[in-house]
Amino acid sequence: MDVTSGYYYLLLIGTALAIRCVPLSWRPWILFVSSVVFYAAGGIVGIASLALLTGLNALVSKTLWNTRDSTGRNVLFWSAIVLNLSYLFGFRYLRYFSIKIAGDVSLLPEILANWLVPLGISFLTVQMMGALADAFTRSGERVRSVPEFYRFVFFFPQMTIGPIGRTSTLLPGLRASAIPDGNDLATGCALILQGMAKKFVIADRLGVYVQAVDRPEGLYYGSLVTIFASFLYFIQLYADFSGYSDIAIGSARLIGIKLPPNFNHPFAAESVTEFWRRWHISFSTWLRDYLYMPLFIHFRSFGTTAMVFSLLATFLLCGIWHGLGANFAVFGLAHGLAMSAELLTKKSRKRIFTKCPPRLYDSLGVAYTFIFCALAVVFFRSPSLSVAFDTYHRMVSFAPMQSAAELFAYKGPFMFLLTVIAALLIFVIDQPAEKLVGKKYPWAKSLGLCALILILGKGAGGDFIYAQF
Amino acid sequence: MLSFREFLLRYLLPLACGFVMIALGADLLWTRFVLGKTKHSDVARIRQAIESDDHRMPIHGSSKARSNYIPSLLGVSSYNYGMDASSQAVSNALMECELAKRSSSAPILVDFPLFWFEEIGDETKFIPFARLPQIRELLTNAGKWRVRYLIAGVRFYGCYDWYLKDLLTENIELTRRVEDGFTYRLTPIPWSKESFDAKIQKRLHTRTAYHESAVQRDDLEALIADHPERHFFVVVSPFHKAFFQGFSGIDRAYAFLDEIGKLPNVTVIDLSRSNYPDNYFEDTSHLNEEGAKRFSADLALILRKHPLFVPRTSP
Repeated sequence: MDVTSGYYYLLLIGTALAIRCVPLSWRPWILFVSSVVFYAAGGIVGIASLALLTGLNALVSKTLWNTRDSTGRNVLFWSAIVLNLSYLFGFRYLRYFSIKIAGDVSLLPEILANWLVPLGISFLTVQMMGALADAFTRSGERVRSVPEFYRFVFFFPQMTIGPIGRTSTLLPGLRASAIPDGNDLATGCALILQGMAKKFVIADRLGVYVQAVDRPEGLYYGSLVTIFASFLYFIQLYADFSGYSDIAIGSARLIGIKLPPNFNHPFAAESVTEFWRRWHISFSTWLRDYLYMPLFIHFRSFGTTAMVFSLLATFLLCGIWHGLGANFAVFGLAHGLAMSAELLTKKSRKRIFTKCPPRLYDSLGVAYTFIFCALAVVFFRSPSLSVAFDTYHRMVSFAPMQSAAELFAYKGPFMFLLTVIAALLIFVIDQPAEKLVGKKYPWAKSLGLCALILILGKGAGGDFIYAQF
Repeated sequence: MLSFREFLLRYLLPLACGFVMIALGADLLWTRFVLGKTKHSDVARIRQAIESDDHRMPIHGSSKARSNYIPSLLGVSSYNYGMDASSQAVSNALMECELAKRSSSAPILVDFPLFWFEEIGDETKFIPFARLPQIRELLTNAGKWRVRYLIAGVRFYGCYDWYLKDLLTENIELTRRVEDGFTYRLTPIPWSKESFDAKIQKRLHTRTAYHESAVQRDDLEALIADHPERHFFVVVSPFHKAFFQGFSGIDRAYAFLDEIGKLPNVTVIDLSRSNYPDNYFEDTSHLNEEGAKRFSADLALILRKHPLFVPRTSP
């Protein structure tokens, strides 16, 4: 079910109203039924295999919490991880391999893709593996029962593209019996509107420009336009993904569950390392806690080398999680390398820039981070490594624009101006309401967002970019 | 800390009221000052087709009609309503609006493109007129109907920028001039043999089979038959000879013309194989401005001989 569709909001409002009306003990079941309805709308067949895997994971989690035998726990945990990874890679990459091997998509994987591959498979398996790791290390919140594990995994606002739930953050909310108060409802509505504005006003508008440059139909775009489109795509990706996260977090708030933010002004990051503390926080903290830290702790005797190795390995896996193509691996590695370089040059940079005014230093850091991430995301956006290198080649070829019309790739100067305005709006929309309109009128920012969506929103929006993962 | 009641009164109510005011205000503003001020956009053309009462001969059709007919050269007071990417269904809907006026007795010119297609183009141009049954039916048949098109305030969602762009283009872009619906480029693009040959090659490599849209055909026939008081010129404007190569079943299009030509209030003018030189064409089915001038002059000669236009001499 698309979170921007009317059906989703009927389901959400119905759930929020039901929670207010039914006895408190029914609340978890109301949430569960809503989640099943949400999921079933996306394809009933895929849910069966995922439900089975969730059941197995629930049993493993329960056993891991209850058993003290370390060998048995080790065997059980790693078997479960292998099972989850096999499930994820088996379903998700069957099509990829069939294309690679057969040169075309054969009939069987097509059927599998359409009918059997569960919606949000990557996010849900990652969430379940996190819960298993919590149970294995006895950290986070203990899952009390199998039904509770199901409710934890099948929590509908964040099911398809996150934020990735953690036992420590999601379970207490799911268990809490408080009915959402007026603040929760107002914050929830404001977040949903903010997400919609990011999606319809910014992401979709930038998307049409980027697509116009990406599909030049024989036209060779100059360096300036190619670089400009890459920057726009980076902003589009942020607006699209953080828009979905805002809708998910706002929806959860309407039913009384507080989820932590998934983004924290990533364009203000002064280094790539800081960028990952601000971007897709639920995933980057997952990577940190379940991949980077265990790896680093294991190899810590090697000092800095262990840190660099752990970073590279973690971000390589981060890239591969997005897709099996070499472009995704290089995307991850590029970030890992940048962070390693930042780590290794930390002291020398401090020494060199001691005389540099802090504001200038910070601004340079912000510019470097934005440019690096926008350029690295070319690997992410391109269908293959060769297309990505072709894009880089176009950027550095210094080919001049053939005419101003090239910069106005999408429907002329007026639409170009609107695209630029939309891109800049991300810095306004992201500001808290208090900063924009003060505390006196809590509805004012929401009203502004409504007006933006109405006047500048793209009518028929595209799918969320991260839905493909 | 807000209670549920306070949420309703201090957040939701002002938000809802404010939104309604903004939505209605924007709707009014655009209707009056943006849509109401455009003269040559598709919205303006449709408005003219629905409202105008100037007794000019309307010319209906797709982009082919738009690029081929220069009203000022036809020798007959006329207006070119041709619209890009619009099928016969669009022309039929606009003709219905024209015929519903009943005040005009001017003949109607229909450009028949020899093939049928289902596109109605961007639905944006129809939204301001969605209340009209003809337009609603057109959008419904094309699967583009939305209930919100009837609701003031939200009907233009997703289109505001397009309407504004049309108005600005019309007033700022000074590279075109529109006269009676025909668009002149102030600086014509020089014709290039290379580029035209590439278009011919593309056409020669695309095999096309005649496909008939029964609904559009029946609607056109019914429109003509139901209005014997109005005369219809069904004109086939010139195609490049390459257009006919690899087009199977084109005979059925000519059979349709023969059939419709038997109706007493129809005159079929077939100039499809006029054999104009290459430099009169934009591509294999659209004329460029030079070609349009020549074609309009040729058509004027034919129209002038038609009894409808022969000046009556006093006995």
